[in-house]
Amino acid sequence: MSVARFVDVREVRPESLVVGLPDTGLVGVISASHMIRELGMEEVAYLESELLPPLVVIHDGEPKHPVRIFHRDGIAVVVSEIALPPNIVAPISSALFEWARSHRVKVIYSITGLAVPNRLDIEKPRVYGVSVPVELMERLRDAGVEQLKEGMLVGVHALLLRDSSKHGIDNVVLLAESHYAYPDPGAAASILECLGKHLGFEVNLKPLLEQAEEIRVKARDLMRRTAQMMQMMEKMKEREVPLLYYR
Amino acid sequence: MERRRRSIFEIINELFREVEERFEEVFEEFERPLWDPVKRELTPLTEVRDEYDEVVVTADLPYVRSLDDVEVSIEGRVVTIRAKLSRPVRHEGWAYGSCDYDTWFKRLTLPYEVEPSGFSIRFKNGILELRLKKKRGRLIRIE
Repeated sequence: MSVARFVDVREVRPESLVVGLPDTGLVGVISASHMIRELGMEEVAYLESELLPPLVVIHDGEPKHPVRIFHRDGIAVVVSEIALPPNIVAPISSALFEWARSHRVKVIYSITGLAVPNRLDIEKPRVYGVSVPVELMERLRDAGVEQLKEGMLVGVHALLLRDSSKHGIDNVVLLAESHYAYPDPGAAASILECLGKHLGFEVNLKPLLEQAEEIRVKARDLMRRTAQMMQMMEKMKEREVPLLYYR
Repeated sequence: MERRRRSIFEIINELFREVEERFEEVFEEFERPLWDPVKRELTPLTEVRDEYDEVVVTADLPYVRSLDDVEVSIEGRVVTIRAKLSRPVRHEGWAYGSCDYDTWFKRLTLPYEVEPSGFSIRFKNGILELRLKKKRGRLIRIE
């Protein structure tokens, strides 16, 4: 039995899988949650793994798995309500590839934040992207995404990017300029604007920006736990410069 | 003046005290609840960055409208931040019951000694930024 696997509760055939897991500025989780609510997505699968902490989340009196996949109109979104420990990063990446392969997903989009020290002075965060194959970036440029040319990525999205060609599934990582360890709804809005243009869906960003303060208050617990996990994962490596010795 | 040698028990006690203080700091950072329904206080997320000759402390303070609603005190290496929310935030949950929170409060320990008067402060989009000058060491002349 695999260490982590997604269990279907409904059969769907999505073309795209959007991954919004807890990471820098909780950009992925905030964006994914807003998409799920605004597009009226339905739960289609959940993650089963002994590596997850022994807990359930309760919504409207109903116990739920903390990591779930939602779907509507050919787009699936995976979101986690808990911080993910470093030892589950590789198994969850394999489980996502397995689920994507068995559901014939064509492109996986990982959405996250790119911590910038001057975030306080940025009104509208820019969105950067990196893709496999690299040619996918041509289409993303039309949606306002700039290519991330140099750097390092750490976390689930790094593994999805690294292993996507091996699994024969295209992969895009979208990163919005964000705070490192403060929930950043503004960065989430930037990501959703670009992703919506690219995938052809429309979400109303007004409620996200109007509720930004409420989100920042309520997401503190998850952000604090996520910051703890990012530290264990040596997330600060993203601020280091890779050695350019050969191409 | 002759220095009194410390006994082994005093040294061990001091070590234990240091370990306890460190443990309390870690507990404060990761385990202490961020909601205090008794005092109606919320604990803000904070970051401490080391930037050359400065220590930069930031705090995320949603619902705070201006610097007039923020109080900051610095005593030795301890920084205390207290801020008034523009409106109470209601939170309901089995762990904390139902409560309206109206204050942000956080006390944190800096990694360096800082100059008591050498600091700048700014507040933008609900984020407080304090820049504190590190205490200068003695300059060693190399001949």
